[in-house]
Amino acid sequence: MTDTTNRQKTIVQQTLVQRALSGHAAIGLLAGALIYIICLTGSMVVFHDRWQRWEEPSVAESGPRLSPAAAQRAMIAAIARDRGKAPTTHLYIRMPTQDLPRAVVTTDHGAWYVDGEGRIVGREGHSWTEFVIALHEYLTLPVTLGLILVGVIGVALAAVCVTGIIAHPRIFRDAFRLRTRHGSQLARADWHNRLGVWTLPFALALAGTGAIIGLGSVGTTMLAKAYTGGDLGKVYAPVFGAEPAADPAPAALPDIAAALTAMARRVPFARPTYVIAHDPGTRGQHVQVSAEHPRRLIYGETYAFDAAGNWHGPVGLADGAIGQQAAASTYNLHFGNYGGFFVELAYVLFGLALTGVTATGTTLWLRKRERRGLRSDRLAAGWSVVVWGTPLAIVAAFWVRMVAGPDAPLAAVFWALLAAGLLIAIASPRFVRGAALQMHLCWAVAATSLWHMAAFHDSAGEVLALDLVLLAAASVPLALRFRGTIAGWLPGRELRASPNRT
Amino acid sequence: MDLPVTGVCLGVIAAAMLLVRLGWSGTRHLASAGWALALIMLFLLVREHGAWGAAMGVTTGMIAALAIVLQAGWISPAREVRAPREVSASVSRPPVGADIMRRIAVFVVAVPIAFAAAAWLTFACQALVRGDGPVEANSVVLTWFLQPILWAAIMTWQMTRSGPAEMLWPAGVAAALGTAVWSIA
Repeated sequence: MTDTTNRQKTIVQQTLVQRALSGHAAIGLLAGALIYIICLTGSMVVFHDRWQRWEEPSVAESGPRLSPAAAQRAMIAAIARDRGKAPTTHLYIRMPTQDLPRAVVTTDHGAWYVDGEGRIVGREGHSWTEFVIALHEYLTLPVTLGLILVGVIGVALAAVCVTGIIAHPRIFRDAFRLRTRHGSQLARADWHNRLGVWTLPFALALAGTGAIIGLGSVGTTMLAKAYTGGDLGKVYAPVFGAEPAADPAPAALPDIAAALTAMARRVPFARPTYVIAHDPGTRGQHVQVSAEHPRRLIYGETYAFDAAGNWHGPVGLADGAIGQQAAASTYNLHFGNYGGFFVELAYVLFGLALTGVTATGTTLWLRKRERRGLRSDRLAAGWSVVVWGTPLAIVAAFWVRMVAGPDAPLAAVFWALLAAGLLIAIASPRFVRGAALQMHLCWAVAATSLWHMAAFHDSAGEVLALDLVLLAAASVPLALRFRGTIAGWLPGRELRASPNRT
Repeated sequence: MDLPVTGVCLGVIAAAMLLVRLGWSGTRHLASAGWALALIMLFLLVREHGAWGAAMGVTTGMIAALAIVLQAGWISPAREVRAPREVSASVSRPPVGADIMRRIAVFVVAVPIAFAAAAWLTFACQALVRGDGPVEANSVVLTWFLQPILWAAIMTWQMTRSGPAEMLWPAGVAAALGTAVWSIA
């Protein structure tokens, strides 16, 4: 009786496992390419401040602090620069940090770097970094549509993680087993499962927060249609604060220096990240200062001030309703900027691990099909293009940025290159070899970092450090690929090969 | 809790993962002790620093575990690679009409239908939380959080069903639950 029950139970379990595996593969096939692109670019975006500095290493920097008086001068200079254009509705001053010691002032008409005195020193032109961020956040589509699509991909990623766990009942038992030298398919499966298990909390947190951020507009629209007559602002207001009514009558520019001074006096532990002047130069203007709180998961608290810089208090992201605190925590949890450099580094590694899990997942499925006699040459070649062609196209976009300047259409270049690669894979799959594409990528990254180091050798140490990291990352696969040749150059090799050796 | 104590908690979590590894395929008590130690440190971090402490603790644990796994991969002995299994003769066949229809049906059930069911259940839950009051932070954020989480749960459940018809069940259950919650909201 027990045997029969156990056997029936096993059959049910096997069926569930098989169904889960089938579902895991189905989601992977449907969304794998987009998951891969989003994970890869997400791993890069964690260091977006460092990439921005790397892309434009010659910009005069303001240092890690900008004084209130310098911030005031920066605002006045930016507004003066916009003279003759439509009045700006929002002016932002991005305060400098240790990672990016550059203050940036942005109006509706452009963004400029400012020096430590608040003088404009150049146009902000980090279009390649912005392209990578856009690729991650909304796949360079129209923003709202792209955010929703990326949110949907987040939902799919969460589902693929859970079905993956159900589909592999032994995955926890073998959690510390990584057979890297047991043949490519077994090694690939071990990499897929081990990285998948130990980055599971990260993957679920990332997928969940990504889906929440991406699909937030859908929920907001639903609530607005139901309760506020379609006014989205009234739905956002209880969480992020309301905007006072606009009054376009002209007025003197707001006193953001007073606001920053009040901040330093009232909340000395908070570090301002953004100063926002709403409708500057009008009677309806007001000021907000967004500031980080140490050892909190929230991205910061927003402090409100009137035009004279008088304190109106915080919105409540730090200690308001639990919903406000939760909403403000999703961003840092997603982007990994809550614990300094080492947490950022951990996020980059976890992100690359998740990228690897995605890449190996589809490759495992393709190889399994091949063993069963179901060859999919076009699909396999197309997948190779996605895996190796995506980073290669990102590197190509960087070169286009360097040659053609910050206004080059980088998104168009990226998608055109990827589409061309996929067309070649479909038309002539034998011309596309993953190993060759991998080597091309390594050469491209190595050449880029070497050129960058030579061209900007007098840059800050952090910029050159990123060059060295890129060079090292590209060199490892190249060294493995050419280890026979390298060994031939080594003197020990000659000694070993010499017939006269005694 | 000052910074050095926080650092000690994080260090103990990393050490606890080492205990988990030692006990994983050996003395089970060591693994249990490792998990217990990690959970105690995580509790202390959460008590002191809230969500930030939890995030730091889990990140440290994952880094430690991955380092141990990578070390296992580094010292993994090389085995003689077996000749690849004979590949079956290629029987590549294009998907027939029924296959394509089935895939489209799975997509429709798992994406728009599951999304609609999740949205309805979410809307009902926020209405229950909000009651007769105005739009307020907690119910708004509940909407933002619950919708993707419920959708992912429904999609996961659907993907463990055997066909499009069976996949309708999870969405149907969510929609029915949404109606029930709405009726009492």
